[in-house]
Amino acid sequence: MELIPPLRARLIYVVTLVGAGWWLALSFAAPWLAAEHHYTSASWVYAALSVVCHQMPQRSFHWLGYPLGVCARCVGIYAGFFLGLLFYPLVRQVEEEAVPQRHWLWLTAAPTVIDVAGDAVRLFANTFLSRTVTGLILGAGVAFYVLPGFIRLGFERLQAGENRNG
Amino acid sequence: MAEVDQKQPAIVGGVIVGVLSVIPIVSELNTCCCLWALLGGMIAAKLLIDSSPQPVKAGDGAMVGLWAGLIGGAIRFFVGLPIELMTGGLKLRLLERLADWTGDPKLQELVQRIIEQAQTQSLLQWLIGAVPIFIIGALILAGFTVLGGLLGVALFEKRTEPVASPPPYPPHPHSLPPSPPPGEAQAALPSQERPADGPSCERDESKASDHPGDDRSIVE
Repeated sequence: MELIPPLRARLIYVVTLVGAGWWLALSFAAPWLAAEHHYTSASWVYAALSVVCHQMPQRSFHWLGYPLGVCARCVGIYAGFFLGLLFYPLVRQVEEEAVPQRHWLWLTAAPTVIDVAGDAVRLFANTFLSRTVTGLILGAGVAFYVLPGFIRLGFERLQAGENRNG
Repeated sequence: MAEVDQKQPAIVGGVIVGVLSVIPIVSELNTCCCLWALLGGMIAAKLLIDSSPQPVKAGDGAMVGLWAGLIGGAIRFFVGLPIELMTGGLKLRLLERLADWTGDPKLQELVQRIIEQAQTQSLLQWLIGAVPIFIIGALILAGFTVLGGLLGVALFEKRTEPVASPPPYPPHPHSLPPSPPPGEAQAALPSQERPADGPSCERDESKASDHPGDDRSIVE
């Protein structure tokens, strides 16, 4: 397996980071468009994001008087993912292909699982804060497991494109 | 890594994503962070790991997840769109009830506008509105199955890449096979290379090797 040149890995990292930021921004775009009376555009964004989230208003943050495109937990996960990617180079080299040991992934998922399960069995009632914070932790953890794969995938696609173009 | 057939894992994962994403009510679990897409990607990665004789890399997991997502997205588009057409009215009524339940006037206004828009549009207008949404939805599904594939590799791939063996070292002089006896060694030399009156080739026991076990003849 070919090693990924650091410069190329950083380029793919930046693209991934921008993509994650764009995805997070999309959640905020929906209420902003609605507040600006672009109802059709807003409904498109809400409809697109309805694929990934229940969008219950009582479980969503509101901005400009409208609920965000996704619920508080999802916002937490996406924001955590973005932050995890942002701080990734401070923890690991972006060209490193190995992922951290899997028990760290379980550890970052545990707060969300406890938060969901505890609420489901009525042991406690989760809150906006608990949903967002546990989502943040999960999202940040997941970033460390998916970025190496994104970089390898991006590198192989770039290589394939270059080979096609000669 | 040797080429492993990714088709079968991708098809199985894609069918799981697609079918679960179009069944009414069951598909609603996709609203939990695209659960079915993540699951389909993970299953595709698991199948790839099981069929691969070598450790599967994260990039392979992402690739098989992408294929599974594209297959699942295609199923969602071609099967889910007609189902949506048949159940759209019901969903709008549910949405209206949900908006009423929240008691949020702005949300009620938004939902009311969507319902009014839906009621006044023709089938063609509906298709023009729904097709891009379904295409975007299919792409989102593909994105999440990639994530599922990556997480699947992180969770299920327990083998590690074998460390590449270093290039073989030249044989240690002490492990060389013993030289032939002096006479034969000299005979083996071409005549012009043979020493004319040089010292005879014989082992000087006084200069025996310092290395124990070295019983090779010393040819001077």
